[in-house]
Amino acid sequence: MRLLEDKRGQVRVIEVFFASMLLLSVLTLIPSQSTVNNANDPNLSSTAQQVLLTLDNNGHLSKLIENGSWTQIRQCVQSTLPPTVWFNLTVFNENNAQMNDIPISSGSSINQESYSFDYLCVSQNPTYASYIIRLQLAVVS
Amino acid sequence: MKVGQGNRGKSGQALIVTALIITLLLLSAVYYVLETEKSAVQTQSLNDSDFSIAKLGSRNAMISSLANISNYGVTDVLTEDLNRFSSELLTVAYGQESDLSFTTFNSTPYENGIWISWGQNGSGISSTYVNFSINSSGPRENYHAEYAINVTASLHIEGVCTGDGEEKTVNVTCTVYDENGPALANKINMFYLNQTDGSWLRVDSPNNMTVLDFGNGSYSISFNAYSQQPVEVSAQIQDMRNIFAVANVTCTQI
Repeated sequence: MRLLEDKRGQVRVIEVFFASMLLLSVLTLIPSQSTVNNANDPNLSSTAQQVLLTLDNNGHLSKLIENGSWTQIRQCVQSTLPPTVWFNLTVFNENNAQMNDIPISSGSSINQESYSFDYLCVSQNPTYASYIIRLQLAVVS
Repeated sequence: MKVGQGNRGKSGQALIVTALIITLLLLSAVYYVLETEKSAVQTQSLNDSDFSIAKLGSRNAMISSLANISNYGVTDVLTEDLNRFSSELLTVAYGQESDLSFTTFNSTPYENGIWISWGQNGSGISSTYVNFSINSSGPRENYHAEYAINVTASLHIEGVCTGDGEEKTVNVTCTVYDENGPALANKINMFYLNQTDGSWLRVDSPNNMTVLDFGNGSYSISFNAYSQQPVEVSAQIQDMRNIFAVANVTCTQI
């Protein structure tokens, strides 16, 4: 009789295991919500770096900053990004004061979490000058 | 009998709780594996980013310094600018500990990373050469890279003159280079030597100066000069990065 009860206990343990597996498989089948975790997206990180490195090639970016060509910077960034990527770019001087007096972005701010990348841009001008460029990116669904 | 039923009911509840605990354990294991993979990818990309940004930034800083020095600045500007850039890079270290150190090239013809030779033989050069070392330590791996950057602006001129008496027509071919090969000039100014008082006279509109730009770094320059032969000519150029260089040549009569 005792032996039978013990066997039943083992069966219960197996049953519990199968139940756990069933629960787990149900949970994995639940469609994940489409909220994109932009903050840690390695693709956005790579995109942000490539955009800024391309624009800064031959000192082009620092020239645009020194001329205050914010609209041109916006157009340059926009042309290098896919339309599904939202961006916001802010230029700071050496004293961390914001330089762009108009927003450099692809539209109004979004509610989604965005990826932010800081880039150190050095001018080729005979007098040394550097700027910190903050590029925020997010994939809009 | 009643007691037995009660026990069985309680063991059922315990089994459900155990099932939930096992599920949670399995889920947390899956989540941990996913997070570990994600952070490994991030570490790699940050290292590459540090290197590319440091390399481009140090090159821009060197161009800035050479533009300053070649336009009659002091040679200390190079180390001052690179020290500034190095410390600024630390403040924007992309979540890691980064360190950029540099050594100016000190082998002939460079001195403290600078070589400026504005010679009489038709060639002039303004150049800088610096070796860099970048160290970056992240949470998972350390990164070390060494690279050297050379920034150069140079020109080569050749010329002849024609004409009788003191009025000569001078024809000069000027070729501009950067560290990668032929390059465009932003500005070219020509001078010729006044043999009476030894001063340099700037070639201006009264000299009927014409410049033919071939678009490949070569320029054909022609102007009138009032001079005995041979005519001593000096060309001053500024490349597209505002780096200045001078070359002098003697134009003989043909």
